[in-house]
Amino acid sequence: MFHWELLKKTALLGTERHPLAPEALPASIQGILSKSNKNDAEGYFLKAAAVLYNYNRAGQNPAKITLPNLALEDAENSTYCPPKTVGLWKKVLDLSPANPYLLELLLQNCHQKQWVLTDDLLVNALNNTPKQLLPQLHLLLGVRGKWLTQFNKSWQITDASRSITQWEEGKIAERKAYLSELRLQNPAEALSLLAQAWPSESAKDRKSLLSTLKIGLSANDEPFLEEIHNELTKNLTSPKPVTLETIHLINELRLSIQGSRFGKEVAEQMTKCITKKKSLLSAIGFSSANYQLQLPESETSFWNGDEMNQRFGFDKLSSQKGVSDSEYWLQSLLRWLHPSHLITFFEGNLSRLVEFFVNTQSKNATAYLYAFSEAMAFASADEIKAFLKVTAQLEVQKTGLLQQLPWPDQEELLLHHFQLSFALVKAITTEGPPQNWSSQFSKKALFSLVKELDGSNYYYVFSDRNFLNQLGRKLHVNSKDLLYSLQNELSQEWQRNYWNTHVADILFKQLEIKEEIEQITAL
Amino acid sequence: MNFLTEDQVSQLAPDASSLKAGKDLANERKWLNYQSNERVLWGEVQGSGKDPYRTQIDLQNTAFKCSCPSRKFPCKHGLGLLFLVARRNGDIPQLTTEPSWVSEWINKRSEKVEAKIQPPVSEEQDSEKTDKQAKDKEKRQNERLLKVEAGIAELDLWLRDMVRGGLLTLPEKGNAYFEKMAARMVDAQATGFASLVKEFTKIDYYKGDSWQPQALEIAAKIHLQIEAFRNLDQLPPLVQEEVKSRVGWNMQQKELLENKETETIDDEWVVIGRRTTQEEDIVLQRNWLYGSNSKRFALVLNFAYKTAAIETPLVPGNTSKARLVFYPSHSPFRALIKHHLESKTFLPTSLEGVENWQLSQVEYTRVIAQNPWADDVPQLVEQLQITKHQAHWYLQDTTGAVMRLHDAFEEAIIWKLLAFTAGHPTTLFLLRQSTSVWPLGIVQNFSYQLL
Repeated sequence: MFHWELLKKTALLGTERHPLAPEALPASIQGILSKSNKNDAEGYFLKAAAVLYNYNRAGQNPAKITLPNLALEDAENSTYCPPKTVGLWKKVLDLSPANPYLLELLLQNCHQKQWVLTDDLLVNALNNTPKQLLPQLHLLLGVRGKWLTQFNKSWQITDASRSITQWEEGKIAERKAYLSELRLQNPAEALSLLAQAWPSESAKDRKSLLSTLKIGLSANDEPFLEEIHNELTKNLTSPKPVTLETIHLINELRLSIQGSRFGKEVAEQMTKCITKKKSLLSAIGFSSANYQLQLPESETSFWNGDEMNQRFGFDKLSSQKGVSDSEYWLQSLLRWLHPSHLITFFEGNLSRLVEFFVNTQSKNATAYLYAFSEAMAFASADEIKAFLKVTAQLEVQKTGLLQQLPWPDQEELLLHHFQLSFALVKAITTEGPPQNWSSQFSKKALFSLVKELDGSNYYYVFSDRNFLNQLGRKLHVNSKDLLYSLQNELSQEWQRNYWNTHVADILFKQLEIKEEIEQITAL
Repeated sequence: MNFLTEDQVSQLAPDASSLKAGKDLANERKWLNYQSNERVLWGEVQGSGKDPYRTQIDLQNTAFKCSCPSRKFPCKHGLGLLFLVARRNGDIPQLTTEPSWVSEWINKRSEKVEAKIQPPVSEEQDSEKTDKQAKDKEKRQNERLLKVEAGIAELDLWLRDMVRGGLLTLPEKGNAYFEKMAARMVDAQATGFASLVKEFTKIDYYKGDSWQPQALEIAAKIHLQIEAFRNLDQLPPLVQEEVKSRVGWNMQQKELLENKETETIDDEWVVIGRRTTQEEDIVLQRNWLYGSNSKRFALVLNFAYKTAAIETPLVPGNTSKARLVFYPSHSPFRALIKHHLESKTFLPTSLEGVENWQLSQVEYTRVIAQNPWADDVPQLVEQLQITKHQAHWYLQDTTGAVMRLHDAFEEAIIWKLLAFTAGHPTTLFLLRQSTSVWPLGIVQNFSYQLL
C-alpha cells in the first residue's frame, strides 16, 4: 500500500501510543494536513491515510522493467481442423461426464488426417484430455499448442521412458514397473537383470519381482526358475510364509512353460490318475465316458515322497468345503499346468477332454473344467477358439480367453456359439481394447442389455458411466436407430422411461458423435 | 441470422446445472421443430409433460419465453436452442412467417420497445396529489437523513476507537465484530458503509503481514466517505450525487428514467465483459459496456435475489444498439438501459484505445480525481503483450512499462489469452486498478473475443 511504511507504526500501535509524526510525509501531504486539527489524533491520522491512499493511486506510474518476450515466432505449417471438426471437438470435450474412449477415436482420426487444433480449441482440449491421452493430443497441437504447453506443467508429457536408475535406486513399485516394461521389450535382458539382483533381494521383493516373469514367459526362463527353486527348497525346515509363497509362484511359472521339465513331471503324475476302461464305444472313438479319474490316495504317493507344502509351495489342505485334499491339489495343478500335456494325452481331441471333465464326479461338478479353462490361456489362438466352441454352453473362463482372440473371431463365437448374457456383454465391453462392433453383434448386445432392466440391480448397471462410455465407443453407429425401439421389449412404463432417459439418450448422443468422428476419415 | 457463439450462450446460463442441461438439449433429435427468421428463434421440445414446451427467443433484444415451468432464466430449453444454433453455425430452417404463438409474443415485445422509444406524453397530474407526494417524499428523505447521520456518527466513533488502539488487535476480533457494525449501518440505511465495513471480513489475517496495509486502506476509504458525507453541502452537485450513491442513497430507476436532466447516450455498445458475484442472498451482475461511437464506458448493474432470474438483453461479446441513461456523477459509469433496439455479434467499427500504460495512468488519475472511490476503471489499451516474471503474470506495453495481472485473475483465462495472442501484442479491454489490471477481452479487427 500507499506509503505504508510511513504510517505503519501509528497504524499498528495506535494513535494513543504512537501519534503520527507528519514530518516524514511528502510535502504536499503535509500541506493538506496543516489545515487539520493535530490534537484530534485519530482524525488527523485517518485523514493522512485517506489522502495518502489517493495520492499513491494517482501518482503511481507503471514500472518499466525488462521481462522476457514470450511471443511465439514460428508460423504454423500444418493444416487446421476444418470448422465442422472444430464443432465436433467442442461436442466431445463438452460431454459430461467425459468419454475418453470417443476422445481417443477423435484423436486417432484427426491425426490420420494430419490436422492440428485451431487456437480456440487448445486450452479446452489440453484441460480436458486425460493424462494417458496427452501424447496423442500433442501430435495435434501444432506450433502454437506446443508453445502453449510450456506454461502449464499438467499439459506436458512426462517422460515415460524408464531409466536404469529407477531399477537401481527406486522403490519396489518403480523397480517392478521398470522390470515389467523391460520384460515386454526384451525378456532375456529382464531375466538377466533379475538373476543378477536375486541374491541380494529381500524375500518380499523377490516374490514381487518374480511375478514380472509372467510377461513373455518361455522355456528360456526355466533354468533360472529351476535354480532358484533348488536354492529355496534346499534345507527347508521351517520356512516363512513369504518363502512358501515364492516357491508356489516359481512352481506356477514352471508349470505354465510349455514343455518344461517340471510340467512334464507333474503331467505324468496327473495322467496316472486318469484311467481308460476298454469298452466297445470308446474303442471306436465315440465316447470318453470310460475315462475315469482316480484320485491319489496320499500326498506322498502323488508327490513321490516329497513334502508338498515345502517342496512345492502348495497347501496340502483343501480350503473348500466338500472338496477333498486330493481333488483340491488336482484342481490347483490344472489351473497352472500348460494345457498341451492334457490335450496331447487326449490325442488332441478337445471335445473328449471336455467331456471327461464334465463326467468327472466331484462335489463341484464344474471345478475341474473351470480350472483347466484358466490354464487354456497359455494355449494357441486356434486351440482357444476350438475350446471355446466346445465349451460354449458350459461354465468356463470365457472372457479372458476371448480376449486372446482377434475381434472377428470373438464376434463369431459370441454371435453363433454363445448365449449372450448381460454379464458377458458387460465383461467384453469393459475389458479389452476398443473395438468396433458389427451392427449384428451390437444389436444382440443391446437386446441382452435391455433385458437387464428386469433385474434388481439395474440401477447399479446403468449408473456405471464407464460401461456406457465404452458401449458408446464400441457399438455400431447404426444401432442408434434401434435404441429407442428397444423400449418395446419392456413391459412396465417406468422401465421404458428409465431405458429412454438413462440408456438410450446417453448412447444415442455418443453414437451420433461416433458417427461424426468416423466420417472424418472420409473428408 | 444473428446467432451467438457457444461461449456467449454459456455466459447467459444462470448456473452450472442449467448450462449442462442446455448443452444436453443442443441435440436436434430432442426438438420436434425449430426455426428462425431475422427477429425471432423458436422451437418445440418434448419435456416431461404431455404437451411439448414452446421456446421463443427474441434475437434482437435477447429475451426468452418458454412454456416450461422452470423458474430459471433463461431456462435450459432457451439455452439448448441457442446452443443448437451455435453448433450449426446459424444454419437452421428459416421461415419468414412465424406461427401465431410466436408472432403474438414477438409483436407484443416490438410494440413495447416502440412504446418505450416514443413515450406517451404524460397526462397532467392532479396538482394537489403531487404536492402531497412531494411533501411525503421530503419527509421520508429527512427522516432517512437523520438516521444516516446518526449511523455515520456511530461508525466514526468505532473507527476512531480502532485507530486509537491500533490495528494489531484486529485479528483477534473475529468477523462478528465487523458484521455487527455492518448490520448497524444497514439499520441506519447506510448500506454503502455496511459494504465497506464488511470488507474487513474478507481480509486473511493469518497470511503474513499483508493484512495490515489492507486494513488501513479500508479504514482510509471509510474515513474519506464519512468526511465527504459530512461536507456534502460544500461539494459540487454531481459529486454530491456520487457521495450519496456511495452511502447507499440510490436514485430509483423510475426517477432516473423520467428525469430529463440525466445524461442519455444512444450508441452501439459493445458488452465488453460481465462479472457476477453473490453477496449473501443478493446476486450482482456487473455488465461493462463501451460505446463504439461515443467512446464512453458504462456499467450496467443487475440484481437478483438468490436464484431469481436476471433478465437482460445484454450479451457479453455482442454489440447492443441501445440508449443508456447515466446515473448522475462527476465521472459517470453506472447506467441503465432505457431502450434496447438490437444485438449484433460483430463490432460496428474498429476501436482505438490508449497507446500505453502511461496514458492509461493519466486517464485513471483523471477518473479517481473526480471520484476517489472508483475501484475498477474500464479502459481499452493497445499493443499489450503478456509476459511472466517469477510467479506473476504481467502485461507489457511497447515502451516496456508493465502492469501486473490481478492476483485473483483466473489462470484458466491467462491460458486463453496466451492461446489467442501467442504472446504477441494485442488490444485489450480491461479493468484498471491502482496496481493491477483485470483483462476482459481481446479486440481483433472487427471482432471481440471475450476472455
